[in-house]
Amino acid sequence: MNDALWLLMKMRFRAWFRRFGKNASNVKGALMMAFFALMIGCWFFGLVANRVLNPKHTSGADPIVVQRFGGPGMLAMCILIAVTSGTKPPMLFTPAEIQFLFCGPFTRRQLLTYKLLTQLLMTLPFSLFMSVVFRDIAGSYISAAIGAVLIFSFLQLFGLAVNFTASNFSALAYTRFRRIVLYGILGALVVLGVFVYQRYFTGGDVMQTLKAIEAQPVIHTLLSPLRWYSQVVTARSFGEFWPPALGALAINAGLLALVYVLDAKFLESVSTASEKTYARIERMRRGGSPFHHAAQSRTIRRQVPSFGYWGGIGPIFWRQFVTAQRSQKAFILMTVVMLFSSIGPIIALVSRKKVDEGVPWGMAGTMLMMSLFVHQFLAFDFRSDIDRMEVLKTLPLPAWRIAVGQLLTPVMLISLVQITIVAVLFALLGTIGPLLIIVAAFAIPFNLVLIGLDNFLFLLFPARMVPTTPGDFSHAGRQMILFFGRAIGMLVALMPPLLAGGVLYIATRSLFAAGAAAWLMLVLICWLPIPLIAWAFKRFDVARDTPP
Amino acid sequence: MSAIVVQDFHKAYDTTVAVVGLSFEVEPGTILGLVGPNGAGKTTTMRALAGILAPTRGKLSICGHDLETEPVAAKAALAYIPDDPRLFDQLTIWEHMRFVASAYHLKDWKDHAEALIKTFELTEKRDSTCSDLSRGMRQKVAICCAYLHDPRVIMFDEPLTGLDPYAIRAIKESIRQRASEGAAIMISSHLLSLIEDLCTAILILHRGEKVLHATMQELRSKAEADGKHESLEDLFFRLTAQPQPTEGAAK
Repeated sequence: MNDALWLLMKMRFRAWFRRFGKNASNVKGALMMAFFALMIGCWFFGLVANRVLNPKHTSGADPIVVQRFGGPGMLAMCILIAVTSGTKPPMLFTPAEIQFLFCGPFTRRQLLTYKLLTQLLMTLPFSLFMSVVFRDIAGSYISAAIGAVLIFSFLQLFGLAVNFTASNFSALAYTRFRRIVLYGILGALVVLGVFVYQRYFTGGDVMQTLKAIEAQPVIHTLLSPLRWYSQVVTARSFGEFWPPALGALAINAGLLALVYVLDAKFLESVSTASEKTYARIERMRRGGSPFHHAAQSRTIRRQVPSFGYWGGIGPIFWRQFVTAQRSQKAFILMTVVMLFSSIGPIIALVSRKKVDEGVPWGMAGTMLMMSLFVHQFLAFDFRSDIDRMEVLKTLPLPAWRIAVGQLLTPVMLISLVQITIVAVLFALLGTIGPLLIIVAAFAIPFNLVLIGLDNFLFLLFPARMVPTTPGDFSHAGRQMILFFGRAIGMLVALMPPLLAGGVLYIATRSLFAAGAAAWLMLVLICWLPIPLIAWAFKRFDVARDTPP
Repeated sequence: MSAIVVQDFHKAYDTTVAVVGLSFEVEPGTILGLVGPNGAGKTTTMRALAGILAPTRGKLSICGHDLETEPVAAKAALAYIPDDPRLFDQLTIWEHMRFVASAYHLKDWKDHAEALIKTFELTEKRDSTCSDLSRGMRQKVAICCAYLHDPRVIMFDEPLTGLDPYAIRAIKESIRQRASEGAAIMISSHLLSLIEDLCTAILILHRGEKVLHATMQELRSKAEADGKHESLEDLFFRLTAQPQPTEGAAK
């Protein structure tokens, strides 16, 4: 590889460490980094201590099972890579790399070597980490680490080989070729599935079915080399280790040779894809949630009518609502996650099994609690306005009205999704009734407390949703602190409604009275974040608090 | 020998045609202003000449080296400064210079690098990481890196964005000096006053096609011959058929 590219790798590696020092140079950054280190340290220490003090302990994972599932797992990954190869760039270069390397006196192969080496180096610490995590199923730490490196390299090289092969065809031929291959694979899988079901499926014995599939000559041939990777991981002696390790290494070397032989003209496609990706990351850094900008730019035909002024709250609510309305992927993802939380009752319903009386209550509670996990998907509030704080501050409105306008969109939308899902599920289960009204009554104040609290914490400890650089430990530490802060805040906020409900239930033995008391208390409390947010918004100093 | 040769250059992205049959040459010592409305194909042309984009059709060469067949030799002779210079955020200014010196196999480059850094008033920031620099300073770093290997072809995309008056003057002077030393320079800009002030030739693109390629001297001579006092701005609007703002609209 070119000397200059070695020098660049060396300088960037050194700069990565320099970044840690810079992050730790201020009190807030140092504290967050220390918190992250403490958390990870405790976890890692626990893991290692467990190994040392209790060497015979195993998690119950059987290496034979790992070997059996390892091959099919790798095959599934290969199919996934082949199917998605047209939608993803084979590799990403940063904007600086594009400016300095693509216009610089370097050959394509030199740039390819540079990128492959960089990626290999990046997998090394991750592989070491994995060697500890998967020690239970691995033969040893060394076999786990080497196995992880071989697996990551294989997947990377396989993706590149597929992409470069594809780009060596013309666009039309590639599309046709890929379509034919995909239809062929899908057809083969369907035929295989039908065949296996008819011949081998015996009362839901997954292992037996899998064995039968593996016994098929084509599958056996495909899986044999892929099994070497899991055999490397599970090898318990050098004798068990070296044959599959050499085989896996030979496959990787073959793929590497293929990538160099293909020598695809990747500069344009990679630079275009990389620029798009980094532009998206940049937008995400400016705008908060990664789901906001999933939709491609397009001409907008449906306009959302104005909501009216409402003392200045209306226009702010309208702006956030329009943004949310154009981020359908966030909605879809949130709905899927919420539906997944109720997968048990749905399966019971589909299979026409009897549904227990407590199920609707459990579903309703789960649906409300899911706000804790999904509210980040719909962060159409201060969290997505980190680079628009100047504009918000110049608005001729009191801070509390801005706060209300900012919170309305996520609160209303999450509540709406929760109520709709619960209503549909309850209708299917045949138990629509007072419980739905309870969910509808509790959803809005509950979400207002949660999202209000999150916005308050965000304004006190502002940070971008996407870290500035990979491996930014102070950012990870901040996320952990926020998670704990949110959990403690929610506990404190929900204590009065729970207490009110509990006391009234003890006094009256009436669930209705207890629920009503809890709801009333929640409605009273849910407005508390508004003045807190208004205060935090006023003290937010754009020059000082806007994160880099 | 022309420093830049573009022959029948076409560039299409799927169904969008960015540049159609563009041909021109730039002699050493020329400062060519590349102008046109948004979407005219200016940046596409520059990025293709920098070797980032591959032409759909046509031949591009830098100092006699075909970008398709001799990309390394061609790139060794050129420097491209995009409109939004992207630097390695965690590297210092000096580390950028070190990398460029290594990439272009420069020997005894340190004095030259120090002089460039001094010219663009970056001496105090020499060991600062680029993430700490303002937009204008980043632009200056990109220019220093571009100048370090004394390229024979230099391409600027909107070179004055974000710069203070001192830096603007320094860049203008450096461009004139480089051109007088024999470098071919291409400047893409919407600032017609800059083009009029600095360039010795102009190329106007509109919807991916060349609508004018002439030296400034030729333009002036033609205007004198026609008895018109048409400014570059008037010419630009006439050729690209953009309506001039009316007095009322301007107010």
